[in-house]
Amino acid sequence: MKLFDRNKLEIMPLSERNHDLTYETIIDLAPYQIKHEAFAHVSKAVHKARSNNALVI
Amino acid sequence: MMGAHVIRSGVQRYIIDLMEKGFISCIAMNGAGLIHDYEFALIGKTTESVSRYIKTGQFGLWKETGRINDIVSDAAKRNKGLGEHAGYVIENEKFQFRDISILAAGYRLNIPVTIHVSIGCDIIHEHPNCDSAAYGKTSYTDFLAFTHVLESLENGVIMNFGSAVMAPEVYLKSLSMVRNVARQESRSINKFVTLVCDLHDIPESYRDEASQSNPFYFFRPWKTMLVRTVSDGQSYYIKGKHSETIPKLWTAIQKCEKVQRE
Repeated sequence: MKLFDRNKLEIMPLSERNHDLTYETIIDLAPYQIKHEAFAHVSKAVHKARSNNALVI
Repeated sequence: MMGAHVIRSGVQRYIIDLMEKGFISCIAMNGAGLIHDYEFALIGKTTESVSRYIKTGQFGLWKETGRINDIVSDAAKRNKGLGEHAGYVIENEKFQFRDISILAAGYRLNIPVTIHVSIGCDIIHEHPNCDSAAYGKTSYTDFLAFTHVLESLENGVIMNFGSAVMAPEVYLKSLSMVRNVARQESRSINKFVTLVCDLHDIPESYRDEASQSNPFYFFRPWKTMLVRTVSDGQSYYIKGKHSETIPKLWTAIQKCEKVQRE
């Protein structure tokens, strides 16, 4: 089986790429309005898990 | 567990704050998550226009991003996991924007950040220095690390933000492994909470599996993370953008902490 020869590729420096996202995309910490009640249920479960040394992934 | 769009949504500070406060025990991401986290940490920028660069065959072929492959090869030689070693490099080489790196935060805080790679799915797999065996070894190490963490899932919480395939599939196999061992030890891993946040409109009755005639039957987060694996637990689905759901979850956790303090 013949394979593609990767060594033929031309690889450019990142400085020549146009980037769609910049550091300014990163949102600063601030509280949000919450309507969905599931957030309250899950946040209680997260607290309970931390207290019981259970995991939160 | 997260898809790479979470990192592109700019919510890193929320996630890192929760990690620093001890609310997160593990983070699992795919190979694209590694790339965006690495590029943000290195140059404070990420994401190229696929439609623009695919025209000339330049998509993904960027030198500095390709260094990730060398980090993966080095991790394999040192018998390290992929996420751990990438975090180590970002932190120890003092990347300029490492304050927004989830991988570096994981390394600093000793919180596992596992990376679950599918060969051929990421731009760095195009590069000549890509060692597929090293990816297999290091990403499999991360799979076993993730599974080890999952052994403490009873009474815990597992959340999936925007991963349609990796998260439900990895979670499912890991859960079977830890339940197998728990069963032999007369323990159970049944009571836990799951949360899926994504953009899909799924019905309020999401705690029941969709019929096979419904195209959403094939939306794995629903059947795997909201129904099949949580018969004794609780599952929640929230529709929304990651740039809103993660800050809202952070806000809810802050409120809960405030109430507990009072």
